[in-house]
Parts: sequence; structure tokens; C-alpha cells
Amino acid sequence: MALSNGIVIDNLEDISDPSDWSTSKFPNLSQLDSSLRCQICKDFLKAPVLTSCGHTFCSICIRRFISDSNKCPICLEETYESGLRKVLLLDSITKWFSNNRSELLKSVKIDQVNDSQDEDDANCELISNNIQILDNDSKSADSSKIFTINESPNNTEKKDDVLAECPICGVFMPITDIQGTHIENCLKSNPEDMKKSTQKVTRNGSTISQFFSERTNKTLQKSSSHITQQNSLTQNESSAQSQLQPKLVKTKQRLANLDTSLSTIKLREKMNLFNIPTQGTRIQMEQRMKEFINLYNANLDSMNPVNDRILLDRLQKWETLINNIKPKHTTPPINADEQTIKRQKIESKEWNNKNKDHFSDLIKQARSNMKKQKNKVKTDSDNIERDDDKEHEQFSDNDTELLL
Amino acid sequence: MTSQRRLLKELHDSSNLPESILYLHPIDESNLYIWNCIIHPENSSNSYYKNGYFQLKIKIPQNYPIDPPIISFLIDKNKIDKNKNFKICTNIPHCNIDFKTGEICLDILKKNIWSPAWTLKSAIQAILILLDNQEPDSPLNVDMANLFRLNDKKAIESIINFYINNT
Repeated sequence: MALSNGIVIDNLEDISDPSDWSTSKFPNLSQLDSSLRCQICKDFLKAPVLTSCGHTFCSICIRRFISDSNKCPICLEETYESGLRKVLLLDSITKWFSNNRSELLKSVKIDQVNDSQDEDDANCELISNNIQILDNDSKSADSSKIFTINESPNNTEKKDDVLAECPICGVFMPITDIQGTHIENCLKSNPEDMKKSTQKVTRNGSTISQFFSERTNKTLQKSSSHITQQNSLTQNESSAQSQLQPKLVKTKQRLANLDTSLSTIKLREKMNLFNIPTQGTRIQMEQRMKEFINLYNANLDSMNPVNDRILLDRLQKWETLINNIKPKHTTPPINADEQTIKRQKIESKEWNNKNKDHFSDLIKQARSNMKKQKNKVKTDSDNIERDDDKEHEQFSDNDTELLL
Repeated sequence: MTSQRRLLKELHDSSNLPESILYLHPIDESNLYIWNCIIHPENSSNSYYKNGYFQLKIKIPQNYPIDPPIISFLIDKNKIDKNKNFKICTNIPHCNIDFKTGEICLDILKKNIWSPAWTLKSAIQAILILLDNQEPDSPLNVDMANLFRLNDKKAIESIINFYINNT
């Protein structure tokens, strides 16, 4: 990277990218990595929500976008704020992945020395897995067909997953068993026989209901593993709990979209209800309220919602960021006390109004000077371009300095 | 903060560019909101513009990616990157590109069509596609649009080649 500036590079290092996996033993993990990211901020999903068209984004990202235009950023279909639903399981999966990502990445990084050997080993494992699976399923031709496609070690679990509903008695069981003796027994419509056959069906002596509870454990285990380490709860309980939001959230209602026809007084009342600062113009107030509604509603989608006070803090940060676009002279010097800040705010406005003509004259002069210079020296064109942009700012800066 | 993080991600990703995009980088390390880009559409063999190098100026609004980036062709000879070992063309005769300002008429760069799921890279790829798919029905360059309506291929090709080779 051609960058020499320290600030940017520091930031660059903590920015992760799906391509990090391309040099690991499992380059396919980049697919998982990228699918756990929000397509708007390109970061890992924070409090993911599902749109009515089935796409998932960070709650705050999609809310900010939807309040502008009601469409899905991916498929451009119409989507409304009221249709957003939180996805708590995905939230915990993403959290697990982003928390364990660096360790995972380390452990699957290819050692440069054993590079080729490791790959060979991995291939061998893959092949032997394939063979095993084929052996297991060779008794039933149909199911082996399903499993030989795209075989990978992870799919071995799935072997037990293919269940089908018996068309006659409606009980779920492995396909192979339905195709075997079960249907015949069902057709005889002898309830006792049926019971026997369903019991035979279950593997290793466990009942069907047990099978289901095991399966849900498997999927949830991963997402809650870091929680179980902290809690001494049994796995069963914690996996369910990892998807429970604090009770407080349930009692809180989502805020409705801002009604722009509201009178300024009522808007102010509404904002006071949440302790939102009410200074500035009507447009600024509306923007602030909109952003707060977005923050507030997104907070309700989060697994660990924060206090309203923290939301107000974020609101303030957001506003200072937005205000950064404005000319710099509105921000007072770092070491100024409160009085000078107030005085400066009032005075700079007056000063600007008084000296408007003077300013524009100065700018004209400067422009003509710049043109003369440009004609003289045509060497460093890039610098001149930038100076041109900053010109206005510099002049007003000087004027406020005089003030102080 | 979101726009900055997102731009840093795109900068991180900009080492991985398609062949037609030679360069995509912020103009200055301290300012992520103005980017520079050089394109060279040589790979699309039937393109009129395949021999040209073009520079794009990208201005990024503060609430990117909610708002689209503002992209235009750089046509000011004084501002062009001269340190490259090829010459950058500053005249782009194209139906949907303003000849005098370099403004691009492309729907996905308009606020009501833009989607935040797109990146700077995909926006530039869209511009590369626009180069080969001129739309004479919404022209910024009426002369070129007329040639396209008449489907005068020889005239179009010679005009474009004239400007590409004479810069």
C-alpha cells in the first residue's frame, strides 16, 4: 500500500476482510465471513434484521437507508421499516464468529514450511470421509445419491438429518425407513405394528423426540459456546438463553416514524421526553429526532441493548460528525472557556453579516492573484488545485482569529 | 464514523481490482473523501475506447454509502496525473458524458436509484459498461447522440480515435 501516513495505516490494520481467509487452509471460510457481513457497512452484522424480501442488514444501517427511500439495497424491492424483524440466532452466530475470528484465522493459517504436506493431509481426510460415507449408505441406494454430491467433512453430520413425513401416519423418520417396511405397515393400518416400526426406526435406541432435541442442540451449541464458558448452566438452558433479550426490551415500544407535519412546539415536547437537545433550526431538530428514532429502534434489535443515555451520547457524536462538513471556524479553540465559546458564536455570526461584502472582495482578489500565479508557474498544478478549495476557509479563519 | 470505516474497507479491498481499473486510491492520505481513479478499457475488444486512458474524480459525501459518490471524468489538463507512463485522455466524446465538464449521466449514480450495497469499485465498473453501451436517448453530448441515432459507425470511431490519439 502506498500510504505513508500513520493514522490511516493504524486504522487499516484492525479492518478485517473476507479475503483474509484466502491464504488459510480453508479458503471457503471467506464465503461464511462475507455472508455474515452487512452489505451496507461491510462490517459484521450488528443486531441483524430481516427485510420483507428476505435480506439481512445491521439494524441501524438499514433503518438509516430506509428512512430515506423505501427499498431493499440488494434487490431494490420495496421494503418498509415496519416490516423489519430481528434475527437473534444470526446475531449470536455473528458475535461468536467475530469474537473467535482472529484465533480461528491463526489456527488455520498455513505454515510456510509444511505447506504442501498439510494440504495433502487435508485432501486425504476428505477422501477417506467420502469413502466412509459411501460405505454407510451403500445399503440404501437413494440416500447415497444425496450424499455423494459436494461431500465435505462437515456434511457427515447431515447424514442423520434427512427426515421425511410418512404420507400415511404423518410421523417424521429417515427416508430410508419410510421406503422400507414402514409404509407397508402403515397401509395395513394396524396401529400396534405402526408403533413398533417407528420405534425400530430410531437409531441407537433413542426416540424421535430425543433426536430432535439433540439436533437443535447441535446448531445452538456453536452460537452459545462463549456464553457457556462463563455461565455454569447446562448446555440446554444456555443455548435457549443466548437468544433471550433482557426483559426490559420487551416492555419497550418501538418509536413511530417522525411525523413531519408536527408543529415545532409539539416536536420540542416530544424531544424533551427523551432528553434530546432541542437547539438549532427546525431542519436540524428533525434530523436529530430522525437519527434518534433510528438509534432507538436499532437498539431494541440488539442482543445487549444499552441505556438511553448512551444513545444520547451516540446521537451527539453523530451530530458533531455531520457538523464537521461545515467551515472549521465555527468550532472554538481547544483551550477556550465557556464564555468565549458563547461570545464567539454570537459574534462570528454578526461579523460574517457585517463583512459579507468585504469577504467577497477579498475572495475575488485572491482568485485573480491565483490566476496570475497559475499563468506564471504551471509546475505544481495539484497543489494549486487544493489551495483553491481551501481559499475561502482560510480567509474566514483569519477573520475569526482577529476577533479573539 | 460509518462512512470512514466503510471507506477504509474499500481502500483495503482496492488492491484487488479488475484489469480495466488501473488505479483507485484516495487523492491524499489524510482525506478519504476525494478519490482518484484511472481506467483503461482495453479488455473489451469491441470497445471504441479500448486504447484510451481516462482519469475519474470521485467525491464522496459525508453520509456515504447512504448517498452515492459523485463521479466525473477529469477533463482539466492541469489537474491530470502526469507521473504515469501513459497519456491520459482529457476529451471524452460519449453520448452520456458532458464534453465540457466531464459530468456522467448514469442512473445508478443518482440518489434515488443508488443502493448502499454497491461500492466505489462497482460504480466504476458500471461506468466502464456505460462506455460501451451508449444511451442516445438521454444525451449530455447531443452531437454524439445524433451520430449514434444515425448509426454512423465510421464517424463515431474516427471521432473517438481522433480525441484519444491527440492527447
